[in-house]
This record gives sequence, C-alpha cells and structure tokens, in this order.
Amino acid sequence: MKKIWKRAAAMLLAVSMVLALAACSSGGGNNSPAPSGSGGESPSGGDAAIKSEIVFARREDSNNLDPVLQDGNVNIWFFTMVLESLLKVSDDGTKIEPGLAETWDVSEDGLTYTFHLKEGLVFSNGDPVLAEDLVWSYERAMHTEESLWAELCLNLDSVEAPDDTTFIVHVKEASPVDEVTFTLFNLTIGDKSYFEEVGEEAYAKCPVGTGAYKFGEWKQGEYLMLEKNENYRDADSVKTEKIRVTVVPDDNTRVMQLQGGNADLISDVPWNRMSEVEATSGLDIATPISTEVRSLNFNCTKGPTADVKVRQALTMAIDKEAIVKMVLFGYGEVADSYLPPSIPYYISPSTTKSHDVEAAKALLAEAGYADGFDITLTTNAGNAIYEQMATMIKEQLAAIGVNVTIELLEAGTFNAKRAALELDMFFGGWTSDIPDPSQQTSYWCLPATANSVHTGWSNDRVIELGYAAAKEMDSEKRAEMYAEIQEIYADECPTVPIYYAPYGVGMSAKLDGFAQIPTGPYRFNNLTCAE
Amino acid sequence: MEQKDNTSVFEQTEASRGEEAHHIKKKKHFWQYSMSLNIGLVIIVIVLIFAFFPQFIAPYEPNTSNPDAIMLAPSAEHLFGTDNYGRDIFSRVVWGTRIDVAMGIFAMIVPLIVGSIIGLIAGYYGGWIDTILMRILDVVMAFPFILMVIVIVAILGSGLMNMFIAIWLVAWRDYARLVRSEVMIAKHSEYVMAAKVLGYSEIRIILGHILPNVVNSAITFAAADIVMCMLTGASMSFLGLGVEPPTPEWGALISTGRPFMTQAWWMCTLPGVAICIAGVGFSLFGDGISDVLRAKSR
Amino acid sequence: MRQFNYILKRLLHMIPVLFCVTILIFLMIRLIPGSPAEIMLGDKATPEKIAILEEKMGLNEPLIVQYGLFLKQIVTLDFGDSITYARPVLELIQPKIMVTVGLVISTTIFVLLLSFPLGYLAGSKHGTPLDSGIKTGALIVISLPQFWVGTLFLLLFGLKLHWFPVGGWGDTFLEHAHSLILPGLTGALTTSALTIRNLRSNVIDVVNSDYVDFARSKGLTEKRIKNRHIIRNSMISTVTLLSLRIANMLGGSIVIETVFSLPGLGKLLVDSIFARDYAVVQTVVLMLALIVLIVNLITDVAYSMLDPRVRLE
Repeated sequence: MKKIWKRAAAMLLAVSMVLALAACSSGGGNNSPAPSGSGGESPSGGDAAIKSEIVFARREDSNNLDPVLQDGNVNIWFFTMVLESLLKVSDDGTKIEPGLAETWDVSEDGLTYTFHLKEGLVFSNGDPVLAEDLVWSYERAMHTEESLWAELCLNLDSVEAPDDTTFIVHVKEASPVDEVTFTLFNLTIGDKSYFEEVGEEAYAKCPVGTGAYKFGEWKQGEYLMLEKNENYRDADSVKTEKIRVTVVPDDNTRVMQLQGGNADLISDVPWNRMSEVEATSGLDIATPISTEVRSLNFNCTKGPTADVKVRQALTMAIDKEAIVKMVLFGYGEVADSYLPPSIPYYISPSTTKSHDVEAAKALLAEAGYADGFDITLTTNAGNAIYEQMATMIKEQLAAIGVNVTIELLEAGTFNAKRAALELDMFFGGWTSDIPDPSQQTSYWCLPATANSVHTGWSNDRVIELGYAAAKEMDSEKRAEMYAEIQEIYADECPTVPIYYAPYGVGMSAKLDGFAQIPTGPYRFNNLTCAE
Repeated sequence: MEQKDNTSVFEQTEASRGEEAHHIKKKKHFWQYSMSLNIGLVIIVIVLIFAFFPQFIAPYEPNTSNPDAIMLAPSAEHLFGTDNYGRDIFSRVVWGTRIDVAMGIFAMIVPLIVGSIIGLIAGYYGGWIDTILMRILDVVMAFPFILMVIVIVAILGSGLMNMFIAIWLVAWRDYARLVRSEVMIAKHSEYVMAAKVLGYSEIRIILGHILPNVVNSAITFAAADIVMCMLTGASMSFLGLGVEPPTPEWGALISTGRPFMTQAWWMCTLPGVAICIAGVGFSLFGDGISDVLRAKSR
Repeated sequence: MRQFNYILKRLLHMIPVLFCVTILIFLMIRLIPGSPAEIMLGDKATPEKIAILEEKMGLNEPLIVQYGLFLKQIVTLDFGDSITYARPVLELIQPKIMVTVGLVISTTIFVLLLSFPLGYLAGSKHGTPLDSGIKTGALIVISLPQFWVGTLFLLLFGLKLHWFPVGGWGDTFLEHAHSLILPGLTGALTTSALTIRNLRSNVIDVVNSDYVDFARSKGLTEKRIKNRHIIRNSMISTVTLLSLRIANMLGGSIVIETVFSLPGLGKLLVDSIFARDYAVVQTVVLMLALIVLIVNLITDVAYSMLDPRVRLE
C-alpha cells in the first residue's frame, strides 16, 4: 500500500517536471493572438500587404482528425482542407467537380467507376500518391467496423488501382448517390506509408494529405494550426501562410475577440449579435447557406401525440414566423419540409400546416382533447436556441389549451431517453453530409436508420418510396418520389420543421475569399486578410 | 369600587412594565445589539413580502411575452425594462424572489445543521470518531463543488429539488471542517475544563459551552452561503442545467440575459441587483445574529 | 518528532481516502444515464453500433473488471486513453494542469492582496463607517455571478482599454501571466469576499479575547500585540477557509475558463463528464484528490505552528 503512495508522489514529481519543461520550451513562439497583431509580411512576395497568419476563432475544438475514426463536424469541416477526395462539391454546393481525379468514366451498367487522377500528385510530406494509398484509404473507410461513417459506403463493393493514376471502384448497385459518395469526407486519400510509420494515435492528431493546407501544431483545447502545404499542386494560389484555428467557447468572448482584432474570423456568431457585428465599421458578416433544419419532434408511439390529429393541431398552433423573428433575429427561413431548399428535390409541400390557432383548437377537440392535455417538452441542456424555442412553444401551445412542461436534460441522458422513445416532444435537427436527399430522407423518414429521427413514426408508403428513390436513376421519377414523400411527411407531422438557418460567420472587413459549403466544410484556399 | 379596581389593575400592569423595563436595561433588547441585524431584518421582511405576495406587486404576468415590447430599456412603464420576448423583467424578478429565497435558505440550512453536528462530534470526541469522519470529509472535499453538483444533477435530472439534493450532499463539508477546527480550540478552553471538572454531562458541555462559542463563524459563513447557493443556480443555468425555462429564477435571468449584455444591459444586470440586495440582507442578518451571540457569550 | 509522526500518520490515512475516491468517482460517473458509445454516435446510434463501440472501449466487461483495470492503471501510472480525444489521458491533461495551476496561483495572490488588508482593517476598526463600507462592499461583490463580472472585465479592460487580451492563453510565459490577471481577479472577488468577512469576524473575536487583554495588562506594546497575537490568531481559520477552496479553484473553474477561453482542467472535466469520457474524469478527479489531501495536510500542520492551542491528534 505504501508503494502506491510512493508511486503517486513520483507521478506528481514527474508531472511537475514535465510542466516545467513545457513552460521552458513554449517560450520560443511569437505568433500570438495578442492585440498587437502578429502577422508579418507575406514571404510569398507579390502582395506585401496581406497577413501571413489569420486567426479563426471557433466554439469547440476538434478531437480526432482521422477521417475514418472521427465523430463529427468539428473535425470534418477542417480536415477536408488537408485530405482531399476524388471528386468534390463546388463551393456553392450545387455541382460535383473534379477533386484528385481529373476525369472519370462510368460503365454502361453503372457498376464500375474509373477515375483518372491528376499527374504527379504528392502528399504534403513529399511522398508521391501511389496506387496503394488509394486502395488503402478506401478499404479502410469501407471495412473499419467501428467507424461511424461505414454505412455511407455500404454500396461500395471493391476497389482496385492498376497504376498510380488509375483507380477503379465497383459498386454493388447502380445508384444516383454513387457520384456523391466519392466526395465524402471519409473517402479522402491519405498516405498509407505515413500511417503505418506513425500509427493510429499519431495519425488522428496529424493526418497527411494532398490539400492546400497541412496540419501544424495542435494544442488541444487551445488552437489547431493550418499551415500552407508547400507541396500543393497549385501552391502559388494559396496566399496565406498560416491559419490559427483557436477555441473560444463563449459566444460573447468570441464576438469581443473579433471586435478587438484578436480574431480575424469567427464562427457561430450568436443571432442577436449579427446585426451589431454587421453595423460595426471594419467588420462584416457572412451567412453561407447550410443544409441545417431544426424541428420539433413528436413521440408517435405513445401519449396524445401518437394521434396524427393531435400532431397536426400542435403543428398549426406553432407560429414558426415568430420563432424565426425572435430566436434567429430574422437570420433564417421558416421551414416547410424536412428537406432544406439547399438540397436537390426539395419542394414546398402543399400539405404543410400553416399557423391557425382556431383550426388547431377544432382539430384538437375532434381528437378528443377539447380541454387540452399536459405534455413534456425535453431539450438537451446547454443549447440556448432550443431553450428559447421551448419557451416560445410553451406559450404558443398554451393558446390551444396544451400545458407544456419544459425539461432540461444533460446531453448524454437526453440521447439515452430519446433512443428509448421515452420523450414526449423534443427538438431535433440535421445537417446533411452530402448534397443529396437520400441521407436526410433515410434519417427523417425511415424507421430502420434512426427510428425516423427517434419519433417512432412509420409510414409504409414512405418507406417503400424512400428505399426506391435512393436507387432511382431517372431524375424526373426521382423528383416525383421525393415530392410525394415530402407531401406525406408534411401531412402526417411526425415532426414540425421549424426553420432553416444559415451559418453565422463574422469577419474582419479586410478578409477576403472565405468559403463554406452548405454541408459545412470550410474552403480556405483563397482566404486572405489585408494588413 | 370599579374605579379603584381599575386603577389597581392599571397600577399593577404599570409596575410589572417598569420591572420589565428595568430588566431590559440590564439585558438590552436584541435590536440594540446590532445595527446590521436591524437593516438585515428590514431587507429580509421586504424580500419575504415579495416572495409571498408577488401577484400584488408584479405589474405584468411574468411569463407572457409581448412582441411589441421587445428589449425595451427601463422606464416608468417597465421598471427593469423588458427581455428578448418582451416580458417585463421587474415582474419576473418579483416572481423569482420566492424561488431564490427558498433556494438560498433550503440549500443552506440542511448543510449548516448537518455539517455543524458532524464538526462538533468530530472535534469534541477526537480519536477514531474524528479520524473516520475527517477521512469521509477528505473524500468529499476532493471533488470540486460545482463538479459534484453537475454529476448529481446529471444522475437525478435537472430541476430545483435535485439541485437542492446535490447541494445538500456536498455543502455540509465546509461547515463540518469549519466547526471542527473551532471546537478543537474551544474544548481546551478554561470554561470547558471547568465544566468538565464540575462533572457536567457531555451533552450539556457540547450544547451549553462549546456550541455557542463555535457557532459564530458557521453562522457568518452560512449568511454568505445563502447568496452562494443562489449563485450556484446561476452557474448551473450558465452550464444549461439550471431550472426549466421559463421559470423566473434570478440566476437563470442573469444567465439568459448575458448574451444580450451589450444590447440590453438591464436584462442581466438588474436581476443581479436583486441577488445583491437579498444577499446583503441575509448576510447582514447573519452578522447581526453573530454579534448578538458574541455579546451574549461574553 | 511528534510532528513527524503526525505527518506520517496522515500520509498513511491518505491511502484509504484515495481508495474511496476511486470507488466513488468510478461509480458516480457510471450512474449517469447514457453510455459513452451512445453519446459519441449521437443521432446515428443503433444498438449494433453501440455494441461494437462499447466492445472497443472495453465497456462490456463487468464493472468489477473495469474497476480492477482502473486500479491497475493507477499503479502503473498509465491512465489509458481518452475516448473523445483519442490520445493518452496524461498527455491530454499535462498542458491543462499548467493553465489551471497558473489560475489558482493568480487567484490566490489576488485573494491575499484583497482580503488580508481589508479584513484586518474592517475588524480592527469594528463598528466604524469604514468597517461597514468594507463589509457591504464584500457582500455586494459576493453576490455578482462570475460570468457577469468576467464578461464585464473583458469588455472594459480588454476591448475598451486594451490593457489585457480578450481571453486566450498566449504562447510565452509573459503572455500566460498577462492573460491570467483578469481571470485571477474575477475568481478572487468571490473568494476574497468570503475571506474578508471571515478574517474580520476573527479579528473582532481575538481583539476582545482574554489573552489580548492579558497581553495588554502585561504591558506589551500595541504593535507587539498586533503582530504576535491579533494577526496570527485571526489568520488561522481564514487560512483553513482558503485551503477549503483549493479543490473548487482547481477543478471548478469551468465558468472562468469558459468566459476567458483558458484551456484548463475545469472545462475539460465538465466536457468529459458530458461525454462520459470515464478515463479522463477518473484521472483528473484522482489527481485533484491527491492535491487537495496534500494541501489540507499542509494547512493542518501549519495550523499547529500558528496556533499553540491546536494540538495535532
């Protein structure tokens, strides 16, 4: 027992020594986000007046940069500037463009894709892109069992690379989604020999790719450095040497950093501050369109909301316009379908219930709840927007006699209860990973994927259409199918889509070339900031 | 006859009053000990009136929004201004009094009593009882307060009652340690020694001789602790685990108003003033009590 | 010798305490509903995927096996990997310890600077307007939420006056020190309000106590009475109070760390609880426990030196 104590003391000593060392070694850097402004002159010559280091403050740090093992947007939106896919989505999110592949062919039966890669591709560490890198990257994404994203490549059968610039992918079934699949973040090309050399843990901190930027120093919880990739095939077009991606969790502090010049660019500007930032001289805002949809979800398996009439009545009682005005301060649009307008095949369903308190009351009476009922609206703690929406919806539903109790649950507990279909009403949302309706449709409408966004809703016609539409090659027929799904969905109201919101970005007016595609990833290839 | 009888009754009462007055001169009335106590009491009475009769004081419904009155600055119509839903902040503060006073007092009183008892026992008896109690205390002390509260609320779910339980389970430790250290000093004092020599029972020694001498710092601490408990509510709201909206709890008002600090300073500042006033009231009251006890023990 | 024995005894007592801490924290975080796998999967959670991930995380082992593994980790000083951050826990927390320790030091310095002069002044001028002023000021300061004060400081001293950076931690030692001033001051306000009040009431008690009367009757100079008796005796419970706060300052500074964007332990700890990152929570809490125990021991020993009335037992 005494030994434990000794070891503990030894540990404490070791820790403090490491700390002392760390304190010494960290003394060298001079690239600080201090108010003095630390950008030197750009060594690339030409434009002498641009900052060599741009500071980008975001809310939350990344946790794992391995495209296959990572778990969310905080990672995806950044490593896609380092790791590239064969094809890519255009900056406005509407088209598919060449990525690492210069051209590609599809076989007659639609089962074989042949990609012809650009010549002379190299990774940022100088290694050439080899056939084995392509095969390894794809096979790792397809066959890593614990990857959260493996299901995105379910339709991929096998891959082969006859030489270093030819890559062949065999798919199981011809599908309209295939082409989109090749733009996916987990199907990005990494350096196999580097991975084998450094191992999984180090790779998750600093993967090596072919993109315009490479990862530099990453102090978890503090900042992640993006450094210009000198081996990038179009390196001259990249003007900014470094992008320091800092973590500033507090919304107010982040805005203050922008106002004080400590940050040149910030994400997640709170909606109430947008107009203030816009009005400040020297500052600007951007609202890139997103695929984000936020909704109020009903439990369709138990309680009053199992009755479709009750759901319709509640939907009619909700004043979405007031919510957009008071919660988003006008920076967003009222939603009418589970698909956002930024996704192909979106329609505005004719069955969407408009705000009508009297009709809602009548419908509620018809369903046998003339005197209303009590219901709980659960929201995951720490989401200010959800709390605000809950406050408004409580008041709006009180107008038709429905008494809402708001319950705050810590996120993990919330997830567990939601998955068990124990919640009456809760908020949900989804930002699509691909510019195609199939992912969102399977998430919102199909019981097999996520229990129809954990509502337990199931509609045979929608299930049939949902699976068929994902495979339909004829785009006109596909459009009809998705239109019908959206009509049925808006009529049955398993959820109330409330709003579509853009991304709220604040930046210095001297900043130029900011791009964020609708699915979220940033494109900083052309980002510059004047001194 | 009647007249006389009356007079005698009158005289009698007068006489007893005189005796009482004489008695007061010797012992002083409690309000003569401490100015703090008096001011504190006045504030507490006002706060309690707010807490018990908000419906007569609040000019508006606390939870009813008004799209035509969003984020209005303080004025005669809206004393504390309005929030981002157009709700009257003064009314919300008034209705919130009840919740926060209950929160401050309930959250404080249980740990005060439990902690003091544990501290007394551990300090007085010493030996293995002290060792065991202090080691339990060490275990609880090792966890940061807010962390324990977060974990317990995460286990039990959010809400006022669960927040109380969480605070109860943690906050006794401060009192126990504080009281114990005072007892360790007091038990070696001459009057306790004397009481022991005189053969007084342990209960009598603990309650009659030690407690009055050690309870001062616990009470001073408790008075300040009331406002700390209210602020725990604010911190929990900051972390998203506070009371359910739209409950007009003061801490939640400050926390939800903070994003609007640069646009509508009144949304978070004026509920903060309410916490300040109530906090000052309770603390002065605590100081006063402690003054009285001190004067009596001398 | 007596003191040495006492310290040895207390050090031995730490072992069962740390043992209880490990059990308590181990059980507590597992009592919170929701598994780490479920949280990681979020919207994509299906029973099959949860099962695969839990297996990878070693969560399908019986609790007693998991606890045994935790104990083994403590003994071998290898605390495993964080599931959210995919790196060893020790590597993750090392830089954050520096931030947090810096914050504690900064806070403590400000507490000492604020509370000792003010508390002594208020106590020795008991009953004067100065006393009431300090007392009321402390009461008002104690009632201000930290996130409100912090935001106000940033707005005023960071954004408007440019005296301090608007949050962040900086790269060099000087920058670290510079960026710790506002957070330290913010944290110190609440704590020093408590210590001022405590010190004040102690000073009053000591001034009125028999032994000060006795010292005076012995003919000691006022200065000597002040130095030898009043200050020393009134500091004791104030120092205890400060040491009581150490755990809170170390792991409970989530609010300050968030407002000032400091990459410290408090935020990591709360994030890890929310993510059910068991390895991180267990390690950090155990480490905090060790520090708290050592600080408490030092306080108790210092106590016996400061106050001859207290006996080590």
